[in-house]
Amino acid sequence: MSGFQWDWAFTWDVLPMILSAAKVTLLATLLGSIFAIAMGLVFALLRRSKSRTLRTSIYWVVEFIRSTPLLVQIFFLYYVMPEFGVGMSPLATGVFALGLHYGAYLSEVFRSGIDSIEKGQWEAARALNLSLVDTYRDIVLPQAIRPMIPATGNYIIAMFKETPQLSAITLLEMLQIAKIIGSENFRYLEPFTLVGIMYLLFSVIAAYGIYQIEKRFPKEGFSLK
Amino acid sequence: MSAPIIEFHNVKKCFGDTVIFSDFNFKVEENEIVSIIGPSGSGKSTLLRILMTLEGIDGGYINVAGESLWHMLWQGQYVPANSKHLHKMRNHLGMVFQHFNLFPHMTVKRNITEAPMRVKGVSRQEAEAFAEKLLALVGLADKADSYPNDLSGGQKQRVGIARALAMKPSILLLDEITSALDPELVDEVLDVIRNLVKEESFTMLLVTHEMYFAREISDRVCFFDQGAIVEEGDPEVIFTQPKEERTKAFLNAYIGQS
Amino acid sequence: MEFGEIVSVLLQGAIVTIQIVAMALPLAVVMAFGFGLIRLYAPSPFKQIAIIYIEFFRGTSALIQLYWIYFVLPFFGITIDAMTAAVVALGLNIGSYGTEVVRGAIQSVPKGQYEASIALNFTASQRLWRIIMPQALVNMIPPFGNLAIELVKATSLVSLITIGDLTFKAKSLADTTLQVGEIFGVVLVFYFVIAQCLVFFIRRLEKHLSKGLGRGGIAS
Repeated sequence: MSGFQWDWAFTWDVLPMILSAAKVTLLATLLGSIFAIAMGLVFALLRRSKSRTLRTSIYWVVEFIRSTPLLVQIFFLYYVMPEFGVGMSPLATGVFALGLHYGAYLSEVFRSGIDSIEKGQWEAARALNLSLVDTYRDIVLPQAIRPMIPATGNYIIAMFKETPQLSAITLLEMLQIAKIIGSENFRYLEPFTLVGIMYLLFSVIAAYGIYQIEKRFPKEGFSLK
Repeated sequence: MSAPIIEFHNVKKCFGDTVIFSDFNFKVEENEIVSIIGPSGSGKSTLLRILMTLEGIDGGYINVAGESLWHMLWQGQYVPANSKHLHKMRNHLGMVFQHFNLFPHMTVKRNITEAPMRVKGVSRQEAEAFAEKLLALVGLADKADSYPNDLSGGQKQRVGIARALAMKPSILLLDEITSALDPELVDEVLDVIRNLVKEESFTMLLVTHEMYFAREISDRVCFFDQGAIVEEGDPEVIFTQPKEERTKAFLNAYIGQS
Repeated sequence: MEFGEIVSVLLQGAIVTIQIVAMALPLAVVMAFGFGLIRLYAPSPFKQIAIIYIEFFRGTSALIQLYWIYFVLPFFGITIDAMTAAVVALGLNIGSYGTEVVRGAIQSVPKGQYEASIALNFTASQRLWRIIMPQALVNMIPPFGNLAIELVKATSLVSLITIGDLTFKAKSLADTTLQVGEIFGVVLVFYFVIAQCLVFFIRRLEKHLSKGLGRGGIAS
């Protein structure tokens, strides 16, 4: 064959477009993480509810979300929500889907984090007559957060890596832009490789950041007030 | 008298910055039973683990049965042993572990026959016949088809002894073989060793905290402290008239509590 | 469109999905064991290759890998059909996670097992295959089960390179009919059922394999 080569001029043309699409990717990850953490907490707390029916149904909801593909969930929200009169932009749909999917994973992290708090801590809180909300906020969560950081961080990185799936509902994130550039120029090598490198780079930086957060986090926990 | 079966010459051993042995010298004669006693962390187990090739050395050399254990001759020079040499040298040695280390996915019988069959190429019939004999010797003839996790600690350790014996080692290393056992199970294991030395002659090196057993069974007792032999000799002498202060203090603490 | 018709179209897609899983899973297992063992035992240059493979495939996502293999490789003169691209991309992706499962399981076998097998003079390969691996396999089953479910989920991505899998059929049905709720509802249930079947199968396998270890796991 004619010796296919990397085209640097093309690379420099493409790079700014991909970088600007990176903003969309990062925004989706950021909003998705916030939503996922919130959903994860809700699921985790509901799974500790007194009602057995509620606990069992939440278990199956989480199990269902975790064992079905994110892409289908994205399509589901994108196509089905408008049926109920809730039309959402691709970004909002994406954030919602990512948050729900990874919220299901995070709920397991949070649940085991909360479970890892010794029984004596709960008993001491009860002996001090703290309300349930105070017990969680002042006693349980401050101690439970640090051990949850690595797993939570890993899921957020995983979520970040799955953002290319949002290209399927035409969100103009990195992969979608790369695909458009590729099909316009009949050259996929540079745009797709650049996107791959961007993801590798961001993942490494994020992993380092999470490690730093965990290291800096006081071992004895801190007050949430 | 023939040459010693085990010789340590100026052996050095470090774990990172921690020096375990510096210029350690030690000899064991053939068919001698040597007990090693001493406080924990004094390097007793390391001595056995070096002989079993589980730990390397950082200086000096060791001879086993007249051949260098950790070195081999190559183009007229001694060089660190390769895996083939170690494989050959390990044929002299057998070890029983503190935590038994039985293979949980194999029956008791297979724990005992696997190595003779795979390593020595013994036929199945022969290996199984010998395993039955060994199991009878350790009093577990009825447990051949059990799995290790169905046995008590004492039974596990008796299988551990049978497994080591199945390879017919000329030197048997016993590394605190009763330390992980409940007190009431200690004797059933020690009895096996007692019977064993009555029936056959072995070179045996044992690290133990069972002082009465050491006194009864050994030809020689070595008191170890901080990587060196502080005092050694006839068990009766060591246990009744120790010369060194450290030996006295150690034995007093032990006898005092038992 | 009748509900029954929808289901039968989707069933065709489900068969394609299962076919991809059936081909990518063996590839993933081979990669996991191959590179997992290289990562643990091979000399340095091979180890480096394994690390590059693992980090590369874990650092980017399956979709990017799929696109790269499907769209970029033809530029190097390597033209492969969509199905092969899908199997290769997903197999390599899940396999890269599998290497860590293999490595972790082998390292979780107690050190005493390794020492006992040295003391009994087993050769290095006998130690690995007769003593360590049988115990490690039991530890590998649950995480491999999770990876198998991740694989099933990841197959939905192949719809984006025009393979007629379950997700692809759903999307084309959704584009032509208006019964989107029913279609995607059924699809989600299909995936869920496939995943639950895998869970069931894995539990059986785990039970079967751990039997040999005697009751109550491998602590000895």
